Amino acid sequence: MTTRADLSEILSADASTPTKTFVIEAHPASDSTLLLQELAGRPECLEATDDAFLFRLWVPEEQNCFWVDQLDERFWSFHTNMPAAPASRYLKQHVGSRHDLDWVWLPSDHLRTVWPNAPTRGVRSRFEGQLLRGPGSFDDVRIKLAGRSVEFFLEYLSRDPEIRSAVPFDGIEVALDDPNLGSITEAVDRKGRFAVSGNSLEFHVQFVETVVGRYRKLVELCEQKALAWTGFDRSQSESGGRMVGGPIVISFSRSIDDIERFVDSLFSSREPFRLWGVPRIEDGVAEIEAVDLHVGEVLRIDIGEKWLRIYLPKGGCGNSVVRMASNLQHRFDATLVFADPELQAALKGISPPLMV
Amino acid sequence: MSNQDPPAPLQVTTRKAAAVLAENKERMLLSLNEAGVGFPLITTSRQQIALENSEAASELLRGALATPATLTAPPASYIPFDHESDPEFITPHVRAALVAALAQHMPTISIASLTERATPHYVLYAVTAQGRLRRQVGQAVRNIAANAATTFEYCPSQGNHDAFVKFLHSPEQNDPRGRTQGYQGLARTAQRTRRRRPEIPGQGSLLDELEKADGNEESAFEEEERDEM
Repeated sequence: MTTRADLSEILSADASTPTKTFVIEAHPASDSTLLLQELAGRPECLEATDDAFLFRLWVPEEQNCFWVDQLDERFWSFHTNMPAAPASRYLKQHVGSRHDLDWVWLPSDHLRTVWPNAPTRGVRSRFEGQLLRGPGSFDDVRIKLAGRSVEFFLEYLSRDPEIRSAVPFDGIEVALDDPNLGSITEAVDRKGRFAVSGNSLEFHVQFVETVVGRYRKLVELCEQKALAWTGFDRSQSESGGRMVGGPIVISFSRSIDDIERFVDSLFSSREPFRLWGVPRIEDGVAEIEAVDLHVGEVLRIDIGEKWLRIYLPKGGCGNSVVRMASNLQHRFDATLVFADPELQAALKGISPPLMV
Repeated sequence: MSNQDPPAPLQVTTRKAAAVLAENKERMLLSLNEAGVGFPLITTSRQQIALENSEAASELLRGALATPATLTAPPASYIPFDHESDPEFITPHVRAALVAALAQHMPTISIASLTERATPHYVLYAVTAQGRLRRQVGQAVRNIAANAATTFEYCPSQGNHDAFVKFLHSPEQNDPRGRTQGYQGLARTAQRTRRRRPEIPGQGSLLDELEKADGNEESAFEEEERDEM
């Protein structure tokens, strides 16, 4: 049997075979082990370990496995030495076909400031503006930079207001050294996929926890803003009730030039938004009773020339809001902001403070 | 005032005012007049908030709304319909609740449960109004099912069971591409025809076409980014 401590030996994290960690948001309907058994398909493909929260999930066609860490009950870590492509393909197949699993969708600033004062070794920016395009914007931006302090180049580009909205951070690689923990090189992309090489898996796990902790704060804050209705005590009052919460507003730095095209694309049921809806447009404002097909939840959305308003219902998933914001950063406006200052601080990654 | 002094108590005042949608302004002013009630009236529309009967308003309110306040966006709509609304306002919410149930692989859903899902503010209403909402939702389902008969079937109440909707086919049963097309088909059954900008079918990036000549190398992660778009 295996324990958590054995993972350091099992997962090599060497430069030729970096260890990969995929963080998946899970909403098991009942028992989280049951959900893993469903993923495994066959009973022999899932092994328990001496740690109640650690499982070995075999992928027979790859003759390889994931080590699934459920210590965080909402954000599970899938560690593996498998090559990135088959590992990602396997998880994508399950995340795409289930409503109880989703990726994490790291906002651009969570990557930009992934670890304070850590030297950057590589940066990737990707903007795909074809879907929601408008005159004056870029349709397709792909930048990959390697070397020391490469983020300065993206920072330089982002000083230009025309360019700023089209250079979101899509992935980043940093070198980390700690006298107690060791030395590692970490890469992370916006879908919560990590690759690490170095001499400390413990340091890697701490890095992942820090990034996920900051993301969790944003997701949970969205859920705290959700709209909830409570009826008055019916022995006191025949009707009426209380409402708490309010819509979450996103402001854009650029205008939507053709709102019909924008909403038709956004609510076409396609990846990555996977939003269904029939827009009603009046006076340049679209109102949509949408469905988030990722999770099968109704999500009312209003869209104006430079803003978008989401009515997240009580019990709704905050990841739906963050997924939309993150994907809009990569397809419409990299510099969008939440109107709510608390949410905006969390989107920027300012809160909670990082462990350094 | 020194740092030790307690903050001055906030003076809370209460003033009566009536608020109404701008489209109902004249009717409300007439009612206030006939009732002999001298309340200020605040009207709101998609564009602005304005003050009527300003002579009855407090100085504070008059100061705040001396000229109408222009809105950057229409006010948020917390209660988009109620039990007295026309079917056209209720149907989009019922349709979305049905599609959400389809996405969750539900085989059936009762009208009572569907009403609660389509009306998050359902708990506000008295029993009679809730019953009327359920009937409104039932009627909306019948209309939706008539236009998407291969997907939804309305089953009226019989004996001791409530009316319900049976899902005959879900896009979730298709492969990923068929699933997207299935949902798009459901949207089309509800959508009016709109003008679209003419596009050249199949026109992609010509630079991408040239890039293929060099062989396009991408990382394994990037390869996985391509979805069914």
